Amino acid sequence: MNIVIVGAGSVGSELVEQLIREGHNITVIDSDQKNVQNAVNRFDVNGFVGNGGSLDTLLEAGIKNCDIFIAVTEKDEINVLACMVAKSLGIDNTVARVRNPEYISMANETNNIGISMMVNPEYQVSEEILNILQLPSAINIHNFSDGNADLVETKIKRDSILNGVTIKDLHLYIRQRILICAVLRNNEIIIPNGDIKLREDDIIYFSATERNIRSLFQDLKINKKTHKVFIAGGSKITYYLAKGLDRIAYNVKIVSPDKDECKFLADNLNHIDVIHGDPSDQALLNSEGYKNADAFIALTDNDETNIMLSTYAHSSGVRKVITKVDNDAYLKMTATSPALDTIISAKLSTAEQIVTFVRTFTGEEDNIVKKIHKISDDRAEALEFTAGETFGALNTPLKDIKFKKNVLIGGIIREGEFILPTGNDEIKVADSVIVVTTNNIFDDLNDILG
Amino acid sequence: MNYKLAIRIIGIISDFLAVACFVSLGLALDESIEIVYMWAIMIAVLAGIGITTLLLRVFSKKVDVTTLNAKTGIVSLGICWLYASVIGAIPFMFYKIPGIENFADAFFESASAFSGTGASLALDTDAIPDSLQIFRGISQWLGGMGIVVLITALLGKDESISSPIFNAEMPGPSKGKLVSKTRVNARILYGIYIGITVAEFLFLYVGTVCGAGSADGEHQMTLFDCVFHSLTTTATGGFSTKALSIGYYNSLYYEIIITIFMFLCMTNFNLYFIIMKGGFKSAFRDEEFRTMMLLIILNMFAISGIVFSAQVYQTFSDAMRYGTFQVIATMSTTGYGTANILDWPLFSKVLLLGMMFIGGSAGSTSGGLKISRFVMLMKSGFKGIRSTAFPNRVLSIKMNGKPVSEELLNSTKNYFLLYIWIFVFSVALVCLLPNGNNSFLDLTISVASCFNDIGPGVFGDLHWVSKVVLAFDMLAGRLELFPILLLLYPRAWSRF
Repeated sequence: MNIVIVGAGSVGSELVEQLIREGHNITVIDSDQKNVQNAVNRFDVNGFVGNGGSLDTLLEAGIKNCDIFIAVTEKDEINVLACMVAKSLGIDNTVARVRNPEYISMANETNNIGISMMVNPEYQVSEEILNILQLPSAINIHNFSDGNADLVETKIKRDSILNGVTIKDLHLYIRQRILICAVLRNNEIIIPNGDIKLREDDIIYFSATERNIRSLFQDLKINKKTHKVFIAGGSKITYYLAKGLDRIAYNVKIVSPDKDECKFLADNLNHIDVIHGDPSDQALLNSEGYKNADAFIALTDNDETNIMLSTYAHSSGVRKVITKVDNDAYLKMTATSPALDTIISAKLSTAEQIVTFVRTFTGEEDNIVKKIHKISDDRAEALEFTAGETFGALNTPLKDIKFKKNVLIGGIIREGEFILPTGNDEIKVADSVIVVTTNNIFDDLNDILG
Repeated sequence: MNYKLAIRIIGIISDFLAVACFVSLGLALDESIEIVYMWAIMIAVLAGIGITTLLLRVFSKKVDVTTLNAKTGIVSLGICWLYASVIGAIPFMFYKIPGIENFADAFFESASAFSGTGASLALDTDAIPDSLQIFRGISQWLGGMGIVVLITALLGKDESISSPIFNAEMPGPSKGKLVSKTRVNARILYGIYIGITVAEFLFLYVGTVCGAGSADGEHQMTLFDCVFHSLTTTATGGFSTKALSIGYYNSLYYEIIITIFMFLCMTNFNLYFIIMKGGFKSAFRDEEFRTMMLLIILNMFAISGIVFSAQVYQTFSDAMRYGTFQVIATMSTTGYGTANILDWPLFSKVLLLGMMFIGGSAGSTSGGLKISRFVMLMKSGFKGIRSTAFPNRVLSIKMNGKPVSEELLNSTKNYFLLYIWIFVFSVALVCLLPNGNNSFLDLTISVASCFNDIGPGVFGDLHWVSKVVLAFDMLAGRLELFPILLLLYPRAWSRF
């Protein structure tokens, strides 16, 4: 596929990296010579320097031949304008990154202004954090099929009932029906068969309904409630997150060193304490009682500060620590750090969203990808497909289907009902199927068949 | 200082006053010959001034009122109101009403009318003839919604009045426009104003036709009384044709009707426009309106409870009846009376004094600080407490869920300071000059009553200088201080 990406900043280059891996032809446009140079040097792409909102630049870049147009520059207005221009040139599939809260209501009007999808990374990330705060024992939660099923990431602690349990005996220890789809052990992803024995410090990924997850955590006695939330940094993520927390009446404190950010937050939020000060000022942290917080969330613009603050909060005994990291190198370094449990990245979550969008076009029309979640820094993927007429193994019991290696059916959702798959279950037309795999370029449900 | 605008407005005001005089002349035909002549001459002179300014306008260069600066606009407004009050004082000089002896008294009476205060020096209101009464009533009604607002409403399509002067006459800290054209805005406001006045008249007159007056049938509102009270209620003025005010009629029906209409007139008139567009729910979303309802209900029960427990009234329902009327009459700054509050317990008087200062809503015809200012000041006070305890907190003051700008907050605080200073100065002056040995509390209430445009008080024994100062206080209270204060500020008069 021919893809034009306007904006080669951090999100842009992440996108280039992921889409190149999937084998697309990519053209990059950026007004900054350095960014374009960087992209061209690192990847096998074509690059143009110029304003992405300008018709001339787009024509020069050969936009007429492109199948998907993606605008992810720093400036919302440029992104929207670029998409509108692209649409007027006959490009039907356009993606714009729009981050300003004031434009968020525009998302409902996207079709009218020529944008197929609007991504708001900050909002996306804030929703992820909200999900995690409601089940703080989970490191991460991925929603499938509009929330009918979740894929939960959690760590096996030393005193956990699950420590030392073999997967096929799981039902002897817990009442809830869950399916362990992947295990991360020593930096390796294992797609488990029934014989694997869970160990301390394993990170497991399991699929279940939200109700089952809650009751499981209750049985495991790790369902502690989060009420007091301490947020360092007052960026857009903080705003969206605080707005969400405000709605469900959490006790929230925000510390930001930027006076204007503080003013904006205080003006636009109702029951939230906004504190002007440096979050790395220990005296300030102490006087605001950060130790008593149920969750500490580091969302400053600086990765190093976030990592330091989170480590400090963790060592002070704060139960749940969430850290925002965007730098690639740091993401790799922190992925397995014991001091940081949940790591979120606006960049990755945007890329995830856009890659999902791109893959819906590359597969067969029938068996399209609905959702992709990256597991453990791209080591594996959990995908949601809709099964169509052309799927090669319709109405066949799962035990009789020959799958590719390292493929696991994590769940089937039929008419909003989550089915935990056993060997006798079948995939029917219009089912949503959750597939967990370490082969990373599935774009069609038929790809899972061996 | 550019006087062209002031002169032009004075011309139009003169025309309005001439119309008022004409109504009075009609009712004065069986009065003494001097009085008939007086009205006739008033009409002639005022009409003359009106025509002269019109001719000046036709033959001189056209004044472009849109380009006038704020200072000129606001000073012009002050000049015009002062002019109206001085002209309005003349008839009182000729009628020889007991209590109104000299020009200071007449000026006090006239300023009380235009500012919608309703304070009167007349020893016996019943003795004022209808011809003078209706002049008082019309003055009050004109002043209620504002003279300049009326002029703006009558302007032609190509003319417009500068918004500083229009806004200076509309009470309240922040003025929201309903529509883009000031002229249309003024028409909507006056339309609502006239609508409310007519509605009240109809309700009162229905009462009279059905005999709603007191049981003996002697205390009925006459047709004239109905007209007069409709005019003074909608202006939240409070003049009455009777010395006992509404209490004279001793009728629950009249009291309920007047209470409802006082309430309607202490509500922001913009809300009626919003209700017409968005239904009643949108009104309840307004923070000022909700606060007003809360204050009314709290004060209603507080006052009724106090007067009942002090056994001023035998039954609680009586206490509620008189208490509620007094609370609404005070908060709306109308100042009608149904009871002798001098006999009420001390604390209820203090509560009423507090209510005088809060006043009604912004954008209504009522006086006082206005509820929206009161809410902002309270929030600002709480912010002070919180930021002392938590010095690093960034706190935001919101009205209707929207942040209040620092400028508006500061100007509100400054307004409050000026308000208090003028009040303190006036009280001190009244206490200094001969005041007929009234108690400090009664004098304080009287000054507050004038300054906040309510009305009742003890004025008869005051020195003439006190009366003139109080008259200025009334105008200042009505015009939100600045137009009158700028008149006393020499720099405002200079052209440089």
